[in-house]
Amino acid sequence: MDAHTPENGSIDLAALMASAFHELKNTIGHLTLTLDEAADRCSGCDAELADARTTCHRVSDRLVQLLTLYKSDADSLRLNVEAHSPADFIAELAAEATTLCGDRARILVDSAHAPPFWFFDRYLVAIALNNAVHNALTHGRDEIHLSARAIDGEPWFEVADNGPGFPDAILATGGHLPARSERGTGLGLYFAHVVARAHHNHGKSGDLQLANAPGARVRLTLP
Amino acid sequence: MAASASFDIDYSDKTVLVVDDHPGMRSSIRITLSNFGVVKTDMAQSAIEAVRRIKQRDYDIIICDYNLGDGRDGQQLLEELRHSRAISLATVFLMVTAERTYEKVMSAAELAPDDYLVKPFTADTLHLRLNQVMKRKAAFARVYHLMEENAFDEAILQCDEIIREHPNYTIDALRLKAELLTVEHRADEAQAIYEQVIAMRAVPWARMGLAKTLHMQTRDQEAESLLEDLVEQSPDYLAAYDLLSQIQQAVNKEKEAQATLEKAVARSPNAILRQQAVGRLAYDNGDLETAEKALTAAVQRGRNSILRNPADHADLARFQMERGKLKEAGGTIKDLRESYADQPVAHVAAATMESLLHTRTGNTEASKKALDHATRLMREHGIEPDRAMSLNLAEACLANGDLESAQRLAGELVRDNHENSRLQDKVRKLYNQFGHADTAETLIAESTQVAISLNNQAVRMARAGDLPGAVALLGDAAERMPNNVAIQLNAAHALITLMSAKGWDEARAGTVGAYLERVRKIEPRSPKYLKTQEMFQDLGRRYGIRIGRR
Repeated sequence: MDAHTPENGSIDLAALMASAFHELKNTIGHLTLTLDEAADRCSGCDAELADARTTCHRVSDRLVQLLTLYKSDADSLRLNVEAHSPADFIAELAAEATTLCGDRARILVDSAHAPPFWFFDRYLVAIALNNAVHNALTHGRDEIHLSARAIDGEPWFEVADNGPGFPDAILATGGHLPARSERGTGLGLYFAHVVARAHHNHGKSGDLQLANAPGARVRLTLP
Repeated sequence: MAASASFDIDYSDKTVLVVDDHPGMRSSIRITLSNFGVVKTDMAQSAIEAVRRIKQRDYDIIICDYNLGDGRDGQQLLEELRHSRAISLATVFLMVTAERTYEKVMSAAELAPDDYLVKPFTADTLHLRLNQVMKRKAAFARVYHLMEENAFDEAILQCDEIIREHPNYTIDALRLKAELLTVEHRADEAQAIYEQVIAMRAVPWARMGLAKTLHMQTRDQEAESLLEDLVEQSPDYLAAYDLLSQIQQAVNKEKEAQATLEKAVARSPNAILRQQAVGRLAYDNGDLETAEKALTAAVQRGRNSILRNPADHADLARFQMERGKLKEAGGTIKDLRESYADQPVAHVAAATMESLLHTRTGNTEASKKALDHATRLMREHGIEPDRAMSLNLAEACLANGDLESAQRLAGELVRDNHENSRLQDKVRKLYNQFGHADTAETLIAESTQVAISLNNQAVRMARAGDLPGAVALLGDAAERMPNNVAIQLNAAHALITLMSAKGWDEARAGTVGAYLERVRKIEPRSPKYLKTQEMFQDLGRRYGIRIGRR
């Protein structure tokens, strides 16, 4: 039986959309690879290709966010928590950000005071922070700070820019609700919030904090 | 600090194998690799081709897609390669997964790849991840070397060294150390490490490890309830089902043990070893339908695997015969011969099953001929039948009226397993089938009597203070019945007790080691074996001697 056609013959639109998102995501993945190959062979259109790749990543990440949220709605969001080095993790994030930004922004890293290892779902946290990097690139100015630190043994990851900061409407929700604004759907921040809250340890949950300091600052605390 | 990825590892002399069934993906990974200096890249489009290439050449790095399209996945390939030691511990294995399968893939694996890459990934991500893994492998190089030399005690100490020098690898080092301690039967020390990790975070592998160490200390009830929680909370963590099922069998909950394994099989039908286990458990539980289904799957999915075993075909043929599906059984026997054309032991099994099949169709002459063929092959190739084959042979002998040979086969089997009541029941059932119920009782009584009275005599001597006498008596019996697990363990036990009283003796310790090694080959997981092994290690420790795995 087709997975989208329940017994009564009506269509499970949500499941159908989830399947379509998967398909789109794979298509985008293929497109990204094609662009990588094109970048290797062509010269003289680096800026355009970089831009196209950024767009692909944004679309892909957005689809993953939607699919993850869809899953977390159907079932509780199941994490794959393992020990990772926060410094290595931030280095990887920085490398991707550097590729994405080209010469549009400087990426600055601070992970000297991070704990040697911590337990978190690397994949989901990376998507959450990548989204914050995209936002910083779009709405910030010319610097993006990526940092990992620990307070009382609880580490946080942070993405901060030197732009005008979040609009009040977004700050008011704290990212805890998808807030539509001139900046977009608010899905990315909401996703980060869901991912943070899904991390539990010894009775504590993770959290997402937004602030203007004075640029936009996204901080993900993981217990 | 401005971000600049430090790509300082030289890949020009590294050999890389890319395993993916999509040609586009293979070539794009190859191009990416060439961007950071990899020049020696080979490709494989299936697990079979990967295994073939790995046999021909040592690879430093394997990048493998999870979905391989030939009925096997990357995780199975990894397990086969690591279990058969086709790749060394130093070999880097990166698993590439699609987002859709990532969650399942990652949480299912007890034997984890060195890292996961979720598609789509950028060239930089691949490069960075590879660098990170290469650095970690370099930090663990000495431990891997010691492990390959079987120097486990030193490897354990080396793990502490890694934690001191590279605190970011603390958890990896603790995990490996606990695994090594488990191999060394130092259950209490391994338990302490797993508890230490769980105190930080209750990750599934640490809970699994803890259950394993509890089971080793025969704290089965605690282990069982821990595993029940684990399969509930991490249902994709399949190794937990296996251990839970084993423990349920050990405490005589065979039906529950089967149900547990069936849950795991439903989640991952490709795992051959688990299909084999389900089939045999179901058969013993009288559930022939499940038994046939599981063994059919094991045979089908095992075709290109190094985990396949001729006994699967033999058992499948038996289940089919008992269900009255004689034609299918004939096909299975034919397939057994063709699949293992160059293995005499498989031809013995095929001839034996063929003899049984002919008996069922009433072709006495052909049955006799097949049995003779099996006997001749065994003589020619010096084949010693294992437990399952002995029973099949004994049945064929009984069917052909060769009571004497049946007596010899079944008698030896019962004698060597004189404390195994389940096996005795099987022998009883077999003789009953041919109307020789009384013969079975006599046979079991006689075959067990020697071992039982010998044991009792040894116990009396030991109690009367004649420990050396008991040692001599059991030592003599141990040589006469090298496959009798209980006798080997009692002989080892007596020697250990003697040494506790009189002091360490190199020659005696060597003999204990030999007894234990015999048992390890037959029943490596039996609690009594593990307990005796532990006693031996405790004794060694008292005299400052570390006894490793043999």
